[in-house]
Amino acid sequence: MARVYRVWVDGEERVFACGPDQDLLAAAVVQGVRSIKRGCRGGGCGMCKVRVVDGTYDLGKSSVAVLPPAEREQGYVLACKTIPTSDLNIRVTKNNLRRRDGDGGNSDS
Amino acid sequence: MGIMRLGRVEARVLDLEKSIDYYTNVIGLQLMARENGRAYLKAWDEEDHHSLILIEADHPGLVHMAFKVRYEHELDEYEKALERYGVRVNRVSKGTRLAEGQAIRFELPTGHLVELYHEIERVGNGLKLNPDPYPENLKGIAPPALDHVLITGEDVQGATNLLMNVFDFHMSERVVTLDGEQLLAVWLFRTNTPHDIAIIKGPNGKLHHFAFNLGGWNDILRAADCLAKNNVAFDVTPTRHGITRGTTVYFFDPSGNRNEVFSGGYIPCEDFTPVTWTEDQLAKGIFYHLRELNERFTAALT
Repeated sequence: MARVYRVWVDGEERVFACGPDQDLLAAAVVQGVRSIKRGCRGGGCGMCKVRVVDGTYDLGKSSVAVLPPAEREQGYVLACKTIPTSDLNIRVTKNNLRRRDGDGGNSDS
Repeated sequence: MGIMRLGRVEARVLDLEKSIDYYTNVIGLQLMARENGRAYLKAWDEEDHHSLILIEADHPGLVHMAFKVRYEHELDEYEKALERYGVRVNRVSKGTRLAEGQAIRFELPTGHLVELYHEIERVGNGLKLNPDPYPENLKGIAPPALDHVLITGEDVQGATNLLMNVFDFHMSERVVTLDGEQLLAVWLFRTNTPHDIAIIKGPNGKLHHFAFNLGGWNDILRAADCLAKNNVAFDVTPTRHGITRGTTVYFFDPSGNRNEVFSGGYIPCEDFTPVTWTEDQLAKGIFYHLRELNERFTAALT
């Protein structure tokens, strides 16, 4: 049965709840957690990229241009496309925009 | 003569079915055809077969944008003009995509693929004999037409020069550095709207948004209601642009491609004197009321 999971934000005195079928970003936004950046909310722009340090989750369709397979293997996710399947410990990445800008523009198309 | 308008945009989407549902039921475009993994859509007042093509991919963004020229023979003329300008041109043969004739294709200095075409199947809008002002059974926002595209790239000046020198685009507005030395953003038109294409400084090859036209402010508000009702992610709720004087809503499609509905603005002619904004006043230019730039507006690109 779907349940509510608790999400710890690493380095912040902050825990928020993520309801069944609710994505990490939506849950963070409605509970006033502002440290995860809000972008397109469609898995396209990469602004809400965070790293899951501990826990399990389902990741929906996300752009490989902003979340390449190697990063996925290291636990990086787009919060807007991440549905927890356990309690989570996440780390907000500070440099995701810089990395995204360096992806070579249209060379990936 | 020459380019008449932005005729079509081809966008990559992460999930074709979800995107077709969004573009038909929330935006309210008409699904004209599906073939070879592409969906072809048009707005209700457009007479050509399609103005938006969706194709599924592992990342969103712009495949190409295309401008429609008045005459077929102009493709040859522009091909020569582009080559004289030092731009490599490819031919896209008829039948490459559905309902389209041949096109010429080249790359802007900002890395975006642009096509010029004349031939495309004419399906009409059904409103040419003793017509009503709009058809029955429109869904969602139901914009009458595609309006413009905004792209990002490093060489704003180079792309601007090409578009103005080769295709006789006219400048409506620009953003420059305080010393006036560097062009940071530009709004260009071939129609008599404030922009058919705009370019802002940023990473090469990226899409900032493509926009649909709406009749007025009431339609902008109603569009925002429709988006909220359908849980669409907003970027910016209804407001006015300083640049173009238009009214606007920005929001995101299910793959994170930014869309806009745009209404109003002035009606420029070819002799329009461009409006200049200095970089320190950019926020007033973009969001006339709030005068704050949010990071999302400049950083969320596909």
